[in-house]
Amino acid sequence: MTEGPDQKEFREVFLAHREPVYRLLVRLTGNPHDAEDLAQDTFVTYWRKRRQYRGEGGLGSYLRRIAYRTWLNSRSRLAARRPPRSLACEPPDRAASAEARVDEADSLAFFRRKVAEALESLPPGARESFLLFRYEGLSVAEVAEVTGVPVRTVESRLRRAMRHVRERLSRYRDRISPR
Amino acid sequence: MKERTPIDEMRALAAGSLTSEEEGRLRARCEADPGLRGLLEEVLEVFALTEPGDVEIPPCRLEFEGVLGALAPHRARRAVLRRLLRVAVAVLVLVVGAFLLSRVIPDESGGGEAGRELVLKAIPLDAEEPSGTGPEIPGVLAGYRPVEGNAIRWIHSFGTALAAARVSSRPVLLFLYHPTCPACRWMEEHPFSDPRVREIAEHYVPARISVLTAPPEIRKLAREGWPWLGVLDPDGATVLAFPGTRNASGLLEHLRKAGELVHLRPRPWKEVAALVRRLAAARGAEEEGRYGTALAGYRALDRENAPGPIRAAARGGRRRVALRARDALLAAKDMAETPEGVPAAVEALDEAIASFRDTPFAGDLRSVRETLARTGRFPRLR
Repeated sequence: MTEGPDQKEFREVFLAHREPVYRLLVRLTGNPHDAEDLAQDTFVTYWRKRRQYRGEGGLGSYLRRIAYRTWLNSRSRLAARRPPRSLACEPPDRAASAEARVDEADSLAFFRRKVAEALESLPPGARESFLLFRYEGLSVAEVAEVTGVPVRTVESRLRRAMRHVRERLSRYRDRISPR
Repeated sequence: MKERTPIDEMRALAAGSLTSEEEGRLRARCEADPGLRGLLEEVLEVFALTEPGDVEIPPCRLEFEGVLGALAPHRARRAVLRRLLRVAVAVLVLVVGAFLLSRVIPDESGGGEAGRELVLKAIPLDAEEPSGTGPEIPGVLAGYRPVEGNAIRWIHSFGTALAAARVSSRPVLLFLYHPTCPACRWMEEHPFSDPRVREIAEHYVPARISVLTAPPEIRKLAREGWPWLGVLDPDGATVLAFPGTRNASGLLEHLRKAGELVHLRPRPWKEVAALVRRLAAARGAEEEGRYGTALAGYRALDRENAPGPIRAAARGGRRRVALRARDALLAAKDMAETPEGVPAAVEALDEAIASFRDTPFAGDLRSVRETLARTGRFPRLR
């Protein structure tokens, strides 16, 4: 079957924005499989509503907004199908031995797990703002645009997130100094 | 350009992308504001503790074909919705059309509800009254013969003579006279009493008209004197004129000559009399209000190969009957203008139905009567 002009354009959009959309969704969901599902939903939504897009803010920003909304709308569904955290993230061999945990504390993997826990424990809103700001490199204004809240709200969420993350991770400051 | 907040600048400082000037300004602001100073410390520390590689992101395995596949059910759903929409629109159009039709077309029984239009099948609602009474066929023609006994039976009205000429398909033998004219009297007593002239007069419609009572266009024929004799065709045009006194031989000669000039197929007088009698009977029934009989008589004459004036008279009669039916309907409508008048209107319609029994107008009258009796309101007519 030949590809029409619309479909060709869609393919180009998909290839240009697949990675950033997927990466954002991995950050938000913490799960590559969920992120792929939501990325697919994001592009389907974009295609269905492509006539509503007026070019404001750039296509990347528009797609990020769709991805964020898609994630927001799917949170309860994703949470329902996700197994309990203790089973999903805690390999039995690691949980089995306190000695192993001590050894792991020196490792980068241990620290990353602590970072993930700190991020996971952030209050809703602050977590998303922090992820977008710190890991996706969005400015405060861009975060506000994607999440659909005022800039000042993003600022206060980021302040709260900075304080929270600092408190949770500062005790490991010495241990991660080599990084 | 979007506004750059202090936190944005702090991140830039943590990333080492601020110029020394920008950094100086930022630090100066933070020195002045203890809240900002605390935030700067937090940002710098958090940025030192975290890094993008904190979360390992495997490569994306999502392919464009997968997205297209996810779109397929959506497209199929859209197609189904479009089909459903088309069906819904078609049903809506049908329903609206049926509703509109039901507003303008009465049901078969003619019992459309009050306020609905009732389509009349026979009564001509918009027909105009004929300007004249139509061709009159004189009743005298019912038993007319040009010669009775030993005398010519003259017709004394030019109109009657012309009508008789048309009905019988014969020429008119016109004899214009003046009451005080001796020559005219001589003509009557001599040549027109001749048996040979009487015999040939059978083939004419003999008309003896006084110039004192003749219509102007006839009177002017005799402007040079009396008697004036001539032969006219059934349309009133002069075929041959032979004014002045003539003896029987001279008269016969002119009449034979005129006979050669006129090419008509005369209808037997007996047949003419029968047609005229039937027409008169239909007219009599019409005047008595027996419209069924009248209409049947008129119809029969109209359909038969009757002479033109008879058929025209019959058609005029049919038109009159139709108009009388309309009059009856409109009279009932006037009566039903007020609720009190409805019973009288129903009664009038009952009478009209009886009068117009065996005519197509009875059906219309009955439909209106039933609607009026059932709803108490006169239906709109079309």
